[in-house]
Amino acid sequence: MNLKAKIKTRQTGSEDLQMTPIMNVFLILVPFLLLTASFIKLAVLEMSLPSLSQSSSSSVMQASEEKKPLVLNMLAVRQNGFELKSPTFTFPFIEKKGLQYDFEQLQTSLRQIKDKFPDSEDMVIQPEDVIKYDDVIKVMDRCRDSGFPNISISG
Amino acid sequence: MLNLNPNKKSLSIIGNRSRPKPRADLSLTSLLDMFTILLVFLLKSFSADGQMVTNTDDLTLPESTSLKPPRSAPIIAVTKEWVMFDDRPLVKIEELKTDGDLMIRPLQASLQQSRAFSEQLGQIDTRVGFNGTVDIMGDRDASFAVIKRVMYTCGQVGFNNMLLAVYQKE
Repeated sequence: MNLKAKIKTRQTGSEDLQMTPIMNVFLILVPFLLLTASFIKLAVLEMSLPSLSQSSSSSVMQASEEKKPLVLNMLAVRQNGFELKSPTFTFPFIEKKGLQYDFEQLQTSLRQIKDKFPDSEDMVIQPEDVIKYDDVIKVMDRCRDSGFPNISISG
Repeated sequence: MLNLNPNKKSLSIIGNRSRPKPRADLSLTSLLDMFTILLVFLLKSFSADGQMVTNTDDLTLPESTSLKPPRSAPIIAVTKEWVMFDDRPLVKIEELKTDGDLMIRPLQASLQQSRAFSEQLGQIDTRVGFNGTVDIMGDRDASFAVIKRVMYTCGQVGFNNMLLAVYQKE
């Protein structure tokens, strides 16, 4: 009699889904995925030196691109500021503002070059030895944002 | 459902239709909803290739606005103390300051070894092989003098394609 009643309640009783096994699976999956999740994304800045084969063919390249004037932009990163050199431009020395480099001023100067030579995409960065790597990366970022994606570094 | 009814007698009169034992059900639905959302989010950010860099106090990469994804290549790490190649410490930064040579000799040897190895692999299978790519992971406080020497050494051995690893800025 008692057993019969039990069966009856099971058939007509609560229609809840059995959530507990799913919860168990989730409880195991969530910590596992939390461990493997990477919250910091890595990126790279590409920088290439001219390889030997490229430099030998570069004279041919230059001959074919003679229409395009070669604009050599140089940006020296000194301990107390930036020194930007570009043909036909004379930029004043961009001094540090307190302890920080004056990136805004650098960017406006870079934009001026870009306006004058829209085709030029090269920038040679010359940091001094004491400059921090972080600052070099920041300068590279600013150059790229201002339209000079071909960055080379000269020691 | 807990049976909190004080007059049990009236219940027992009705008979066996009521539950034989008091049961406590947890309502798991809301928790399950939360977990489902969390799970979807975590699965989305799951990457099968694993992490390239192990975070230590010694090596904090600089931040950059670059969006280029990293490629797998031999890794040169310049930490606050050591110059490392593929997780092996090679030279102390202190020692580098004393010698005036631009080339870092131990690094050159390791790079040449790595190049010879990948060139041999390239002979077996053309899909892999030496392509002159190297990852440089520099600590943000490293001085450019060290980075410059690392770059010079890479260039001399033939690793012309250098990838400077950075953290993506938000």
